[in-house]
Amino acid sequence: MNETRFLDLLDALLDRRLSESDRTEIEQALAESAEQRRMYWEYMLQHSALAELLKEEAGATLSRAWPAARRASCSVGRRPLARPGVAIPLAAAAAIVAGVLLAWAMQERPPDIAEAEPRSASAAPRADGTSAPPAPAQGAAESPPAPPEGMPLAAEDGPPETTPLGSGAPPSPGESSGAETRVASVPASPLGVRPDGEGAPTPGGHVAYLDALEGDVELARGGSGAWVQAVAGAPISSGDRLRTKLSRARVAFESGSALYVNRWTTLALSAVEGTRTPLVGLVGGEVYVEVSPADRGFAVETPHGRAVDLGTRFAVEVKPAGTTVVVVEGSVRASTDAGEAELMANQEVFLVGRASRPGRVRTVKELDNRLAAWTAGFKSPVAKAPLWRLVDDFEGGMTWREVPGLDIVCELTEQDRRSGRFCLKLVYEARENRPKPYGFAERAIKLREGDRSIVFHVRPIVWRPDARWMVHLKERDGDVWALSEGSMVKLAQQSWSAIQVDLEPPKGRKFTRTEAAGDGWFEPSSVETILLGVFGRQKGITELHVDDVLILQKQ
Amino acid sequence: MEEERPAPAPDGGPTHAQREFLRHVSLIRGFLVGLLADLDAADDVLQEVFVTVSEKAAEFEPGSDFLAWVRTIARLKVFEHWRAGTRAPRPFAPEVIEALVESAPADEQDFSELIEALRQCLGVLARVARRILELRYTGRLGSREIAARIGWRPAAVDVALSKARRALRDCVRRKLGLARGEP
Repeated sequence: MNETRFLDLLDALLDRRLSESDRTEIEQALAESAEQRRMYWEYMLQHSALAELLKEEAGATLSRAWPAARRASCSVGRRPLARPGVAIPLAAAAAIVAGVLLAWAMQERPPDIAEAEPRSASAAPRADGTSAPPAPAQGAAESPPAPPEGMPLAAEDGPPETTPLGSGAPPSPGESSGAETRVASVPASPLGVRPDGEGAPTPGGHVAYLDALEGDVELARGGSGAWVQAVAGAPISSGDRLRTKLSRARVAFESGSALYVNRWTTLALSAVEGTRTPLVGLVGGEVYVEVSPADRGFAVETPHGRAVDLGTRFAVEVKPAGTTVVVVEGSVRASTDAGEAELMANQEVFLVGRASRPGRVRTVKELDNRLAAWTAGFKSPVAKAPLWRLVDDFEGGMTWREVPGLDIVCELTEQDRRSGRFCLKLVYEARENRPKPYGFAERAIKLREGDRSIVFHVRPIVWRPDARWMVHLKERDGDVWALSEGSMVKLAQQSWSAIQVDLEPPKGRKFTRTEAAGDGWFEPSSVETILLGVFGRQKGITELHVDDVLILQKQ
Repeated sequence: MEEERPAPAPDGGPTHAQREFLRHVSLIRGFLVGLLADLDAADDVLQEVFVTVSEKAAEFEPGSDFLAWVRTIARLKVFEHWRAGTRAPRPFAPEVIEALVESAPADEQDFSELIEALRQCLGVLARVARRILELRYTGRLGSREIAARIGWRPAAVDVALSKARRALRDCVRRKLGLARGEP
């Protein structure tokens, strides 16, 4: 059997669409050929590792990757939970103030964001972030047809041969770090905010934060000319400037939009006049923007013109000779003082200057691949996130009320304390009326109508693969609803995972009320406590680091 | 009924066997995935294997081949799993399963390299392919569910999954070939 056919069969096996004749064929191949057994293991280990890696990355990013939450058609409600009536660690106390301030700043949204009108179907990006569907495919275990045009699937091994935008190649990683950021001359004040910060809205309210970075990224606050090295999680306010050299960054906006910043880029962050819609003053370099529905009108201003979102993903590159605007999905209006052009997906235009009309709109190919070459692969900022980022939803971290079977005094290194990390040590022991050893921690919570799911962001430290976690909600009257459970082995060891608990029953199912008779469903407004439990077959200890918990809301 | 408890380590911490299990857990999981051809079933059996490793920890001699020992346990647990009549049926005839057990890779170093290469390759995978993989592997959704989410046909999702896996396989092979100095 040739390799292609064998891999077709393996794909059918993995995707549960193997026919009986396929099964016979694959069995015969495996029984007869050592080479095909080797190939089988190679593919299966990749399959297993893929599940582990994606799970790990999803856990590491889910609770703070706002674009991901947006793709899931929900907004992220970051509300501080009710303060528990227990003493909290000293390190957490300091975080409370910062956390509350941040939560306040994050919640302060103008009515136009909450009431943003829906986009037209043609302009709106798909809910899951994918682009156009591929052409119809052939049968199940048949040889896969060629990928649909415009839907690149192949991984790129190494740097791209072409630059994402324009003709000039970006500096390679080996180039001198002493090179200057590519900066074009900037007119007096076309940006709403000048690169020197003047004319910017009053700084103070955080509009975004540095979601992830790679390499040294620098920030200059407000009108300050002092560039300081930024850390992941740093808040960014109107008037702040950001620059990269041999580095990249991703900025997350409170509204769910994401701004990817390529190497050798300098920009100033502001808001479109009279609104809170983000305005990026791109002085030099390249950015890629995923705009959330709330940010319709997101603008990137350059010395040569302006690109305004009409519901889209797009990229802008500035060089001294001009600005290239390219649209990945949806549409964008690119304009100068002399005219404008509306671009659709897979189109680009070159702006040579404000006094010149936009150039001819051209079609471009394989944008996703080109952009993926520099927008993908950001490491999670979790490990470097400052205290206020990690604990803002918990007013001081996981200060669980002490209950029998729970010990919150687990060992934290000084480094952990400084980073704002808290740990939860669940000692599960044999208890009366429980079939298995069980330990739990509980936390006051206030749910609202429209809350869709709760995400715990955890990292197993003392990790017992035989243990299972369980999430309960407790109503005011004491009834407890068993919401969800899963195995610890599905949490990646020593890395961040997300436990996402849906607050709506899956279609056709009801959740079980564990401490009262009967099945049914709870009223969100009556829930006042959430419990995270761990149980196992033997008495033991499971230790989890928990940083923050998010409540995802329906849009 | 009171369940049998594992012999604790003298200091009350994890035993040597438990530590070894945790050290090799990804490879053990891969072994189970290969035999069961089902990620969820592999996770369930992995828990059973750990419990047995804990129970029999005293029988494991430090310095001996842990992977060989734990695979013997894992193989038995896999057959137990099938006997219990779970929703994931045995994918192949017993003699094929035995041939697979015999040929399963056992080099932790190779597997670590595979994971690292795969991590890098995932980083440059096209966005749409990446999204489909996430829905399949993280959301554990089938082709129909993925298709419903993204507005494609299920067959197109199957094709995209196949192509993404193969693109990753090719990328990993290139990286590992370079890493090992192969031509």
